[in-house]
Amino acid sequence: MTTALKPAFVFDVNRCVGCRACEMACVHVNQLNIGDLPASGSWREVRTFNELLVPGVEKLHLSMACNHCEDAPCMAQCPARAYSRDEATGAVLIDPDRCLGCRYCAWVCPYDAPRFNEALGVMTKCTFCVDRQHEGLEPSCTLSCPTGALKFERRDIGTLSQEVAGFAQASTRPAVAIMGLEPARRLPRTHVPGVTPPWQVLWQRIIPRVTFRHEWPLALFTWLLAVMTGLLAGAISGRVTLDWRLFLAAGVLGMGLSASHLGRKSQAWRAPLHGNRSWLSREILLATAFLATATLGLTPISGADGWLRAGLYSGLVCLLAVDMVYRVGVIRGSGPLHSAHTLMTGLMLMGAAAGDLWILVPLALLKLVLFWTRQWNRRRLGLTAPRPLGVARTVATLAGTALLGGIIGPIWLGFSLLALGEFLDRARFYDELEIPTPSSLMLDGMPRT
Amino acid sequence: MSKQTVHLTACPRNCYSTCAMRVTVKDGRLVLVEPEPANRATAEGPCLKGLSYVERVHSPERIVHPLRRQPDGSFAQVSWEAALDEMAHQLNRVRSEHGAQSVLFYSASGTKGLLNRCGLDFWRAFGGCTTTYGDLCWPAGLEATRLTLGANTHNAPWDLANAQLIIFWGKNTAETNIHQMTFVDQALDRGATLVVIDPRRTQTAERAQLLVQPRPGTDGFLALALARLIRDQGNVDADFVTSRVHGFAEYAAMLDEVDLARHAEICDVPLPVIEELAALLGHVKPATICAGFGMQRYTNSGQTMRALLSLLAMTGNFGRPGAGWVYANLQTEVFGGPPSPFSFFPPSACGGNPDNTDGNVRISVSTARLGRDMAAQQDPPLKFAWVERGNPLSQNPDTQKVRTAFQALDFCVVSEQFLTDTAREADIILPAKSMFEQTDIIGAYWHTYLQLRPRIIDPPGEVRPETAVYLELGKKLSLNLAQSIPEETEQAVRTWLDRQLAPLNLTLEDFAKGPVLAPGHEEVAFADGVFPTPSGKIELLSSEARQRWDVDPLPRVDLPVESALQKSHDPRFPLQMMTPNTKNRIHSQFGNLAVVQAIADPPEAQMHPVDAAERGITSGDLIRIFNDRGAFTVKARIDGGIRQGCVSVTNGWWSNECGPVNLTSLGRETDMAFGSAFHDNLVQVEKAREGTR
Repeated sequence: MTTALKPAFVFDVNRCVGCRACEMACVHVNQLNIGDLPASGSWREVRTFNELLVPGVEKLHLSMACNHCEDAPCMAQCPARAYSRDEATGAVLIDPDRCLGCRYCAWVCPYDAPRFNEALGVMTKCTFCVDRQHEGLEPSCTLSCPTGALKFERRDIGTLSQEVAGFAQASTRPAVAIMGLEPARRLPRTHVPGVTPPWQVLWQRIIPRVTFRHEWPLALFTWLLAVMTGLLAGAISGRVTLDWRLFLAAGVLGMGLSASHLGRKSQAWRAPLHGNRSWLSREILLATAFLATATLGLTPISGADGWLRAGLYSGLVCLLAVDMVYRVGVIRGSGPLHSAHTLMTGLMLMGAAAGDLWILVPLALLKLVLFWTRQWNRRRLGLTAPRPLGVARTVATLAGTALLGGIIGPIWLGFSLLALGEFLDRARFYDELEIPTPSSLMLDGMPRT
Repeated sequence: MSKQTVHLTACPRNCYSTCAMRVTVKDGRLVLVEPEPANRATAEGPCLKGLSYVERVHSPERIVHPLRRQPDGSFAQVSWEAALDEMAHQLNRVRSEHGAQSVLFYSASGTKGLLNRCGLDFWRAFGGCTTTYGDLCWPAGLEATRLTLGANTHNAPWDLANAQLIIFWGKNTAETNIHQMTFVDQALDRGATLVVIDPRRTQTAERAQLLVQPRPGTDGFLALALARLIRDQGNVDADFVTSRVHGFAEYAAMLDEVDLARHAEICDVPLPVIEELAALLGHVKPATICAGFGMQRYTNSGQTMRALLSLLAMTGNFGRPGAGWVYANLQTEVFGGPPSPFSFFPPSACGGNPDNTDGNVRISVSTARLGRDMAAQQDPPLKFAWVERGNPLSQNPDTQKVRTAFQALDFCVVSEQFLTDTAREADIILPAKSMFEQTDIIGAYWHTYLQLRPRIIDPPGEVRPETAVYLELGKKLSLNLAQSIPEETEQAVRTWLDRQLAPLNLTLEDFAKGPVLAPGHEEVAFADGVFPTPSGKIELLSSEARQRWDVDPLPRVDLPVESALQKSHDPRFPLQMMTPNTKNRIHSQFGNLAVVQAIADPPEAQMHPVDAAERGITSGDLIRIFNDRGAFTVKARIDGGIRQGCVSVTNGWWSNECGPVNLTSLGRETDMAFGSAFHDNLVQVEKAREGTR
């Protein structure tokens, strides 16, 4: 059966010495780093497992570019429909003119293949050298490997690769075959007593993909959605009076914040184009629907309760979409339920604004339990949050709940305290969120000291 | 219409691999470098450095005009005419005031090529000059090999696939000779055993079954301990030593002196590990030892290398496929002149370089002691220096003294492609050609191919090859160079090269299809059992070693002069400085390119976790590495694989990075052949500044 065979990368860990000629070949054939074009570096990257030579642990290299998956998550999750497939080669290609530079494809790719080009403001990625393939040539990186570790062959896509540190065994049907270390080449025996560098030293060499410092507009946007959903419930219950102009302004501000991190803001209009597959598109569509219906419901013109309810429901579904967007990340020490999930936040604030203590109190307590369980788990990994943050988050939540529960003081005070506590947790969420990459998988494979 | 052509060429850097390359030129620019399988040794294609020529040749930082130093230390473009006039004026002046030998002609290994020899022809016509003897790289090992085997001739690179035991001794081939890994992998696929002996857990060691990490500079002690064990266990190849080895009885008797426990303590390798390795050497055949260059840059290194060689002799590992010694294969030295290592000897050494005998070239400056010897020259003292293909202010030992010596000159000319540390000390910088801008023939020292390196692009800007500069300067000085140096035209260069090839019954036409194996190429060295030594056998007892170098005729070894084990050791400097090569550069070349910097780690000092902790150092801290000779600062990198007591920084960093690593090394000569023992280099390390992430 040769019909099922398709072009694929073949990588033999036993042959690679980490020379990085493949990266250099990529840079040159794609002109990424010379001439007038900006330096986005190579689309292929060699990552090294056990770079600091922890004794008793093998060192190996993994050369990885785009694996041109048959079920490519980048293509499915791109909100702007910027991805397409070259049928002849199976190459997954990105059209820079369609890309809005949201970088979400880099989050969903298990191989860290899409690369953000700072100067162009869009994602670029390995093209499988389609132009060369169409001329009957193999990709430049495979041609240039000086040890024959990286090859280009026609393969049966979907055969599982061998276990190799850093390679995600994804269900995306990647066009790559990896040969893992043979036992005979696994590790040199040595007589020198080994001293393991502390795990934190290894950790420090990983550059975090997501931080609050860089993603604060997104933190603010997602938090604002939850707060506005809660307030809307308060308006429906009649306990809160909302000015539709302020509400609309806050919503527009939030949407603006979310667009501010785009590499190419002029393409922001493309964000909702992929609602049938992409959670990011759904988030934007639902946020727009939420804002429109809720604002309409708040205006004296309509006065219809139906719009308000439509707003509330679209708000809650939107919060679900937000949480789905972030599901690609992992948070060490956390279970599937996270104390800063926006849907839970929105529900709790609904209870707070509508005065429903049966919703507010259990959710507030659940959040604190989730928060402290996570911090306790993370402390064992040496990843504690700053103490004042944990204290402030707890005090704000408890005080807000107590004020609202005892009906002491105005509603806005208790609500604000709760919202503040939620913001602190949401901000921390971005510092705790890790997008799995080959580098972080490699770190996970290292023994701890 | 853009015109695209594809050419065959070869990389002329000072590197084992000397790769054939297929390069694409479009509109006069180099646009692509790809593998060329016609060279069997490098069939998979060049390393990242070879690929980076695309940037190197057209780099905006490349020097493409003659530059003149200004009073404020900056450089300004000048016309060729002005540069030539000033150089001619200065040369005339120093020659009349001090004599021609007040000019130092310093050339190094930056580019291979037959046309390189035109330099000395110019200086002879000028009336002479002063030049260097010895070498930074490899003479002690070459001489040890020559004394033992009679010639630096090895099995073909691909023959390594036939070995059943491969020992990489002080050679990190995965980084410095990556193409050899192909043949290592082939051997491993056939069940070979790979052993790496290196104080560092190198990339090559990752493929090894056994990694032995001796104290640096004590490899000879390890070798002799192995020899004693092989002898005691009855694993000497009796037939072989009887028929092929001279002095085995004396050698075997010498092994009685070897106190195994003491040797194990000196090299700090447990005796059971030495026993295991001795058993491998005693039983597994054929065995090949691939010895690196770093190990023969200690003061005891010639004898060390002889001790290593003796292991192969006593086990009969010569003259067979898969067996032997791989150090530097000089079978492409076919163009006349004294063979290496003779070419490095000053006239005072018997059998010295005949280049010296014409009387007007003074060969009196030791490369190892460049700075001190330059300053010490008298009758006449040095006033003028001409530097090409070299970067002594980065690569030579005791670098500060080298700098001082250059700064003391009246005038200095440096031919360079980039503003290196040495070029910055020049009065005039000549824009040097790249390997793609003048046709030449190159040899190699791992494989045995002669390769053509054709002119395939026009030199950018006002770049002119050195030969053209010599001719122009010769006109101004009224020198007759017509017989020795070809005109600048491609035709003249090709005619000149054909003249060099004629004695070999070769012409440039023979290179049209690809690399040509050097006449006399051998698949298996010494297959006939004849060794071109005085005795016609492998010499473990060498009277020539005693006569020429005043060392023991047997491979007895001493500690390096500068060693933590010496009684005279200065306890202020307890750490062994190591300055190995990296895959990312050839010495100080390539590291300045943006494409290389995007890939390579910044300067880092590998330190053992315990050494670092004792000094309060963590990864990323800026540390100061120092001794009485000099100091430099660099980031620390905690490395779980380096031997405790060693600190390692790859060599070749520029002053705008962490500075030359040889600031702390002292220029001593090796025990034989005038090599540079700059690895006798003990230092201390202290934290300079807390690191950031």
